[in-house]
Amino acid sequence: MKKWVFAVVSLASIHVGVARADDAADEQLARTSFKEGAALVEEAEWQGALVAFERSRAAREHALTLYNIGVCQRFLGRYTLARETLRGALARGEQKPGEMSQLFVDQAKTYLKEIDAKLARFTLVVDPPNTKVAIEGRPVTASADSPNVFVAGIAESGEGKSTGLARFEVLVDPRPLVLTFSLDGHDTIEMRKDPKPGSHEEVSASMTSQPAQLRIASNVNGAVVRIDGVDVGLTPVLVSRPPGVRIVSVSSAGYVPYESKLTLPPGQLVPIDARLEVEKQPLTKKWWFWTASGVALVGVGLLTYFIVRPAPERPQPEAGGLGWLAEVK
Amino acid sequence: MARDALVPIRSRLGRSLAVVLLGGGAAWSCSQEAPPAYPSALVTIDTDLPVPSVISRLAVDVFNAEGKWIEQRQFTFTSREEWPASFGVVMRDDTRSTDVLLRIRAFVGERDYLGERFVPRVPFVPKPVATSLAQLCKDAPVLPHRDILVQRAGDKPLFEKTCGDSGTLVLDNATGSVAAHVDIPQKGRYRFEVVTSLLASMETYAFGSSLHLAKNCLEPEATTLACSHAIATQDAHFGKVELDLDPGRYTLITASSLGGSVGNVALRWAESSQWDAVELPPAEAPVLVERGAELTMDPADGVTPTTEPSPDSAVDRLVRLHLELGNPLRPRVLLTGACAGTMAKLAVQNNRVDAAKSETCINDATKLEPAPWGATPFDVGAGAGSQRTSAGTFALDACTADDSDDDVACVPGGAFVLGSATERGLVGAPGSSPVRIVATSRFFIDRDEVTVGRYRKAFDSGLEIPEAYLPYADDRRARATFSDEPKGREDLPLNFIMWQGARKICQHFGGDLPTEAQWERAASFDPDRGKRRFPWGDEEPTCDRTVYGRADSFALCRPLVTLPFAVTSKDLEGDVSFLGIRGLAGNVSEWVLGSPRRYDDPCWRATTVIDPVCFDPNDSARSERGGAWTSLVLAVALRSETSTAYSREQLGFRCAYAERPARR
Repeated sequence: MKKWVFAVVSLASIHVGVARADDAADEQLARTSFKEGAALVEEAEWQGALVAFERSRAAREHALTLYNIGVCQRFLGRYTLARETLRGALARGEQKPGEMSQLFVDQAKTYLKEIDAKLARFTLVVDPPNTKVAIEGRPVTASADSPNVFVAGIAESGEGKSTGLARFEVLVDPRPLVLTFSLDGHDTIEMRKDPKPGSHEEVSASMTSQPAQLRIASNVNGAVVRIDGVDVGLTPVLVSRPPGVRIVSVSSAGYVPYESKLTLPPGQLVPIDARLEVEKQPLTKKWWFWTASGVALVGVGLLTYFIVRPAPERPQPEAGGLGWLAEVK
Repeated sequence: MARDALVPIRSRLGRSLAVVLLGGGAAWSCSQEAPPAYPSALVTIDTDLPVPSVISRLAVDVFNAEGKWIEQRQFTFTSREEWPASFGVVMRDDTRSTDVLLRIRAFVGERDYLGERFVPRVPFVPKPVATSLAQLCKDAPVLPHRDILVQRAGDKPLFEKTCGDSGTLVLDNATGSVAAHVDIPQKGRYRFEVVTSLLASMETYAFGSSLHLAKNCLEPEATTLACSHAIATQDAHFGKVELDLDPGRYTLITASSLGGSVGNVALRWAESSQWDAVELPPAEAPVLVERGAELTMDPADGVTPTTEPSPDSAVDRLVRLHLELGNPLRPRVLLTGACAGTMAKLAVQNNRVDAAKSETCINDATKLEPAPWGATPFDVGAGAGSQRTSAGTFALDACTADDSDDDVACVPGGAFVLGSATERGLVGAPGSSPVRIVATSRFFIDRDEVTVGRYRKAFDSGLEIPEAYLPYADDRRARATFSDEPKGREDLPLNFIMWQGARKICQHFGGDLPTEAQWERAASFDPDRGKRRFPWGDEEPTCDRTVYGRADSFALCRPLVTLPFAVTSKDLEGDVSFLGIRGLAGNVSEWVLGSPRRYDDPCWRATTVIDPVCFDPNDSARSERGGAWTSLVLAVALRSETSTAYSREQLGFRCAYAERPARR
């Protein structure tokens, strides 16, 4: 435990010693932040220290700042990130020999060895291969080690990305993780895993299509909507149906029924705005036709009535507010 | 004179003739009596459940005197003004009277037809989970050919090794098992599968189980004939084995290398050639079957309706009518919320319904009564009789402004739909679908989650909790809100508290953990629309409104950087329900009183409509409601679960009270 305290506190003095730059403001910020980070490390406040070192790094890049960031990340359990950062520190140390002494090069390599033993591995099997994968809300990053090995926890937070592979390996931190598999038009799958250090597990995710949603409106509100002949409500209405070919009909009394056959894509909202045209009136629906016919009929009717008195009619059964009269046989 | 005298005589003759003609005509006309009305009825239907937030559909099935199914009609309702609803029934035959049976169902929404049949209401008896291999084998049932059997697995492994992808026993078994015996009748090829498996623990949703087929149940490793682990289906690993077997008894046993999990596992087996054979519902089931344009009740015809009302979210009523010539009936039927979820029992024989032997719930879900006769004047069901609708009056119990204070909100009693048919939560969570019609009595609930300060004050004034259930302090869990000495976190919700501890605290306050129904009612209540999708309405959550999506690993909102990762109620002013209850959607999720079972589980079906609780003390997990600062989805209908053996940093609680508690 004492070893890391020594390493980081020592770094502070080295860093302050070597960092004499022209850009005084940046240099000052880098130094202050570095000192602040080192002090927080002494109190094992890894999160705070990490923030301070990141600030120092933003002001001035230095191999030892990277090293310290990597050490903080390691103690926060962010092993994949620590691995990446420590590798970066060693690479910069090689480019700029004065920035990192052999002591810290050796220490970084020791940490890397330890981290490699602790990392867990998932073999992810995804169907279809273009499924987007995110682990703890970050896309996986291609590893320099192998084309079908990826690393979790390095990339910036964001939507998952597809690797294009149906089967690949991912290096992950050994801690509770949420794996998110997503694909447009498919149900997102979230899995919680708690990989142990050095463990290897195969994880499969097969995506299922989401139902499509149909938002059906019409210029005549309250028109009856049927999908594949089944009454689903009155416009405007929002319904879910499995993807595939569906026949949508919208009808209202006095209007020409609307009917459309369409293919519903998975997971998408398909708006339908049915334009119901007023039913063209045949001659028999013109007002004057019936007025004239009515007058004639009344005349004939009256005449007939007086010739042949109508027999009383049987009381008609009522169809009620729902307008339905069930016929029993 | 003679001429003058003739005029009145002619006039009188004319008048007499007219009178005779008119009188004769009238007599002829009056002699034509109106024929009697056909045997008919005008049936008026009302409900006391809210329309349309609970009841939006009506299905009416008509059966004739011989019990033959004649027709079904479905109707959609969009407003309360459309109730009561009415329709007619007629037999156009003036030579006889007839009997008719009506099955009237008011319901929330339809779903795929599952060949449902009447299942009697039975008290829920929790099944114990096997704690030893000997007990597991002793209690293992015999699984009939092609049946599906669901059993619950505990969290303790009962044997050591299970198989990995290779089929060899290389992985450590880390969870409990279910087992079933199978009797192979003849030599042949057989298939065995874990049909579904959902095991849940604190951090892991383990979708699947491996499957052993063993010759001896007590030696599942030494006598395993086949073992299967990684069969990827959708999102799960379901064990599946297929092999040639000799006649005899074998045992199916499940296992999992993912530890600490509990949950339901379903097993099935069949002769390989018969695995996919279509199985029709048994002939005695009340199945509606369609054959072309003609609808019969003959399941042998092989075509069934695609959708039917779900029995759990319907009021299902039978009414008999005696239709007489010349005497139209006007019966009125009240579909009461008290019968929600109680399916009518149709007595079916030879594809005909015997109306006299059929039974229905009238106004008490605990008893079925013979289908009643509707007559004129006749009101079927309590409270019927008014021409105005009773919609929305079931279990209604309003709150006044004085009932609530700064600390607790009064939640009005009333009916609502528990769950959601459309919300999709974490795959494998207990699920909010299928939905149920439920009601809650008036109750009170904390406006905020129980805070560290409130707990400390109670603890200092005598609250007693067994040591095992005390909340963790920050010296044991870095993200714990509680500390032995106050550290400025007194207004934060208490976290790292186990379910048992949370319940003790609520009981100390004079209340209890809210039930799932109470929690959802409080979070979603809206007097105008019945139910909201989120506590504040239907708008999707945003980072400004509530505290969610803030784990440092999710980019949805700016991560919380100050430990512990929870906020005080002051930061939750946007996350407020209609009743002024804060933090239901985000911040920390909340323990509730209930078991994480589907809403159509026998445990739920045995509950009452008003204040239902599905609680199986043998379950190793309890339901958890609401989102947390780590969550990405927040709809109030969503559910999750956590083992009773765990406490979590993003899990707190609030309390509910039957009576208004004293002001704090």
